[in-house]
Amino acid sequence: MKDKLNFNQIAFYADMTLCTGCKACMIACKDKNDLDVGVNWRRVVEYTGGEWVQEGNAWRQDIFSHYFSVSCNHCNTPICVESCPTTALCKDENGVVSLDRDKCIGCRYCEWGCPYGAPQYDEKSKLMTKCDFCSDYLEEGRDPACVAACPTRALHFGEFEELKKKLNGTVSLAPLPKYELTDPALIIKPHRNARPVGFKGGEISNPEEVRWNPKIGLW
Amino acid sequence: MESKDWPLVIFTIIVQLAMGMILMCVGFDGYLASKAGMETAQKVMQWVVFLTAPLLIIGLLVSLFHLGHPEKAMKAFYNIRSSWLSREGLLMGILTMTLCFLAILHIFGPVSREVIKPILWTATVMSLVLVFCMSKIYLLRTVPSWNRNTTPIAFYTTTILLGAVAYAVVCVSGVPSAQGRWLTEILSVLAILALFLVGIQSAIISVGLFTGDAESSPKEGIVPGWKKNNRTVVLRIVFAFAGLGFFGVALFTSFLFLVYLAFILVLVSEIAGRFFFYASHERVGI
Repeated sequence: MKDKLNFNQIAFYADMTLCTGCKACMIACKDKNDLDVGVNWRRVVEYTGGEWVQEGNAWRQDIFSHYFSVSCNHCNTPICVESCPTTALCKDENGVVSLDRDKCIGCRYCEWGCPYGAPQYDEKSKLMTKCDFCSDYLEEGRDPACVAACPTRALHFGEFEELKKKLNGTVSLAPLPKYELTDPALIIKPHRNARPVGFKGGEISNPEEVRWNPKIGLW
Repeated sequence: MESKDWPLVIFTIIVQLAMGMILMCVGFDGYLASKAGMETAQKVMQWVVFLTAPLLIIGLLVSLFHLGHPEKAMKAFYNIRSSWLSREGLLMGILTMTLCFLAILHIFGPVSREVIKPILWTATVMSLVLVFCMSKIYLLRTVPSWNRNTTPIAFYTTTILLGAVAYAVVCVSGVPSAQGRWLTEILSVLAILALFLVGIQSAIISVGLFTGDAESSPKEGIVPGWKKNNRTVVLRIVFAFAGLGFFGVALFTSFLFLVYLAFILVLVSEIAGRFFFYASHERVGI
């Protein structure tokens, strides 16, 4: 059992080389937090792409597909905290971006800005919801539900600076946004087929699972 | 755009219409007083106050429908330090109270213009700052389609355009003896202003469409939401120019009622434009 409540900035580490896309982390998170249909604090993104490329006189395809698990990254410059009009969102002493539901008015402004889709609206309570790093589990000295559930040990957590020193990782990967935008407390060990930030040749193949985006038109 | 954003479309348009009328009223008050007389200027100012106060109240009420918990709306002022939404809400509340105070002054009898004018000037400054705050809400660094210089410009042009056309309606209908050279001159200036603003808006639309942000819209190559809502943009442009056309006809003929039609067309055009603005929301990342 580790000393779980003494972090400057707590962070997740995701090893994409080990992730099989089983979504046990998603299910564990939903189960632990009793999340309603459509609300998924942790999501497993399936990123795919590729095309025909010419090599000399030959054409070959470079199709790729890989998974990575993402939730709130408890950013160092969180746009949700900056924009929240009620101060319902704030960084706590461990660096967790936490939500005070008593203060939340359900304006959904945080949802507009977060590039990781972390704050999500709950239609039943009419309030925002988000990952709190399983703070109650951490207090009990337990691992967050998603970390504990991962069968391949692809998910870890710890002190951000220590993880950075210990593990060779990055967050500059497609389809994640540029690191500088919110300075996420996340480290990823890239899959061999991972593409750099801004890569245009791939797409999220399970958007209905990882995004809640019911756009409407006038006609 | 999501259906939950409709209250925001209505709220921003109504409030910008009201603020535009305040700007026009202050801008043209001196001219009106010198050309049409103090009584006419007073009458127009009274109409503007009586129209803008309820418009701002309606705007505030409509904005509450956007909240999951409207009863907790007062908490939206807690983060003045960093949230533009808080700043907008606070300023909106102060502006509404100011206009309501002016309306109450008018209700309880004739008030000296010397009393009204400084308050109205204060409301004008507040309106200009409020439009800035409203636009800053959308300048999110993670939403490239909104985070452009054209967003505040579009908000200011909408405010002034709606204000100009609404002010024309007030001039035509608010003063029983509305006729003569002063009216023609004011309508001419308003029509030229409206034409200029619609020109700017057309340029903004073109810039948006032809220099779409590739980062936010890798597939479409143009503004996100364009494919689904391109007819909305066409409707916006057609209605704006049709409104200007009717404004012109009203100016060169005696059919002043066409100013009402011009107002309705411009209003629908602006609602369509704001709809498309919200529909173009697409943030980077997941």
